[in-house]
Amino acid sequence: MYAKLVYSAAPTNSGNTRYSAGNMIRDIVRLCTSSSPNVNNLVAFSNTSSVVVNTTPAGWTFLYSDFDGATLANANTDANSTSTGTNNYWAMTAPCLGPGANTIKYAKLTTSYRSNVNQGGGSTTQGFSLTSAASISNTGTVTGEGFRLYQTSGVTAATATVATFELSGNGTYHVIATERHITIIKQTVGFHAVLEHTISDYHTFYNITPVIHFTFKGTGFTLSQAGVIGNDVSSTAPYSIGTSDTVNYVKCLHNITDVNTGTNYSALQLGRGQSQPYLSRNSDFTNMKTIATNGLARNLVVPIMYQLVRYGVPTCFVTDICDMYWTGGGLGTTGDTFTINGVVYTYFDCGTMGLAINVGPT
Amino acid sequence: MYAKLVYSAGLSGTANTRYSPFNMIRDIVRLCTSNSPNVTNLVAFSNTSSVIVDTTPAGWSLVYSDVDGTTLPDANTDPNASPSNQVTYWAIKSDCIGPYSGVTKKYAKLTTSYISNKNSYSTNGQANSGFSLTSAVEVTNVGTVTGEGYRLQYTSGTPSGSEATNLATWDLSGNGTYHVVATQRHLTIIKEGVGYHAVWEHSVSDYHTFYNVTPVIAAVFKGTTVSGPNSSAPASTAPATGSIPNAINNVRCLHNITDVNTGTNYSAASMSAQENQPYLSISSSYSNLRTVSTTGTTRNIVMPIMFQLMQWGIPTCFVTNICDIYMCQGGIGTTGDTFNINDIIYTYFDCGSIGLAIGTF
Repeated sequence: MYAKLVYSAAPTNSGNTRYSAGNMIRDIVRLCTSSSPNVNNLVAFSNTSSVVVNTTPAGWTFLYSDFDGATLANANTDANSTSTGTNNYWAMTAPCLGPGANTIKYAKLTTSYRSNVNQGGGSTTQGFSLTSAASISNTGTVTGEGFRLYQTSGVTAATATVATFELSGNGTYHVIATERHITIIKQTVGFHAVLEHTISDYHTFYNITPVIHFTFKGTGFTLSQAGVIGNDVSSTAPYSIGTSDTVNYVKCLHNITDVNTGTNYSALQLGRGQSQPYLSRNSDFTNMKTIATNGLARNLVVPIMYQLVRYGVPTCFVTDICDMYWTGGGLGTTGDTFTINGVVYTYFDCGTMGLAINVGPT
Repeated sequence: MYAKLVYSAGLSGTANTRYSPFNMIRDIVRLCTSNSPNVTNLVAFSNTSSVIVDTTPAGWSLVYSDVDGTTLPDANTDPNASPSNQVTYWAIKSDCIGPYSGVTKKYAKLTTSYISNKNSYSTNGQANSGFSLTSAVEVTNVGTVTGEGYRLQYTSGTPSGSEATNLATWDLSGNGTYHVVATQRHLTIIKEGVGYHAVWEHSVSDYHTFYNVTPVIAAVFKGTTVSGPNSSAPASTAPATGSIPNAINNVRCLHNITDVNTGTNYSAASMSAQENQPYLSISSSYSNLRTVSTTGTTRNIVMPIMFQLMQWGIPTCFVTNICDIYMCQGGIGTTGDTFNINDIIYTYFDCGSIGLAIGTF
């Protein structure tokens, strides 16, 4: 399923009250869990400007929401969906190819801000984040959720930071989902994704869900939390934002055991080197270029992979499973197509980096 | 050519005066440039305990030495080789496969580490004087060296105790067994159980062809950590003089590198751990290259050696494919053990906390 969704609510709460982060999530969950995804039931995204480009069912199943419970509200009758007292989430599941027959991956979409309906304060519209987790039950028990920013009661100064991290505001959103992944791109800004990857003997032995959760936002690696996600693995997810943190880049694994110590981590945040070995440590994704023999600049298209050899996890590939590649940003216009090894991929501009995804029949 | 060389001079300079790093280098140069490498001409390494395991000529040739000029002295008549007032070097070269086969040369420069004595850091006496192996953009036959990679050097005076220790940690020095493995593609010098210095040819890319860059990387691993002068980013500080107070254990240098984004050329660039070995975690100490089998049995990881410097436009290049060397865990066996990788027999060399598997003999 590939849906190109347009969101054009005003940045303040003066318009249709169904333009909310909660209803953006509901729209996406409906699309990903529908056997015939279409624009008719969109209530936050425009149902006239949006289009479902590939209507192949994504194959995800709604699991639980702390707002809607185990049954999603009807799009025609649902109320505005962002409550005033808490972050709300909607969780879905999809099966994995391995290691066992019943290995399930989770996608959790969570509103980012707690105390108003449509905005994060000032001129910034409220948004949401996509994470994964070690498990989510159908009664709302979440374990090992990946890295996401959230504000706790009384914290008010980090609104802009939350908006930088989350998917929020007017613009075009691209939702590409198959049984292997869900990727939500805000055009020219960034993306959140839950991606299945190849397995190894490590995954088979520990019976680990082969999933990595990626977030890329903004124009650089502004990592005020350098000690947390800059250089090394961390087990601090989910992460509560401080008042001055700016975080643009996240990758989380779940239920990881260090083979050297036996220590289990419900969620782990990876450093850059572990997430994408093809990239230089200090690359900001703006210089993924090389040169041809005649001196012409060449853009690099690299397979998405990660490793955590330090804990015993060998290199695992996302590209092989989810059929997507990593590229530089600004190489073209979102929607452009190009061929990699004989397969046509669609280019998505995510700010300073890009994704090339096989979106299937269109 | 593979020579297993035994060095057993005393820690001070009281033994045979030909036991010097100077003559250690000469011995190695003779072996690497000989048509019939043998132990007969060894003067620093033992010619009774040492052995040439593989006598296939290495295919290197002498370029220049600031002591010997362009002609190496006869092993039977050369004097003890450490002068008293300068760091000295011997440079050899060999052809590369590309980008312009037969024209592109790679250089290996073996340099003594200390200036003012022959056999030891005599004042502080922690370790024998030793030598380093680097590469360079070019070494001419009149002694002009450009773009040399990172190495420590001491400029004057006498090092303090910690300085001497650091220098000895860095260089190849002291009693022990040295394994010199050399083909036309690489020169790798391992001090058993300690570390290695190496000059490795690697695969080329369009980048190398366009800029006509010699596909070579100089790699040093010493000790048990990856701390170094450039742990976070490529640096253009080479030829670099290491600060002696700093313990430096891990270095990799490229030479004649142009940043495709800016056009800036660096005569030598020293890289971080990430760029050198993408398979390794950023904070790995090389001491945990393990995974697990489906049954829970510990498995050691054997990895191809590669590097990339995407930040400046260099895609991933492989050493393993060219030099037939893999990187693995240290301490997983005894040097000389053999094991099978993709149906090829490799010999294991323990280099301290990491190991090398070399398959050329």
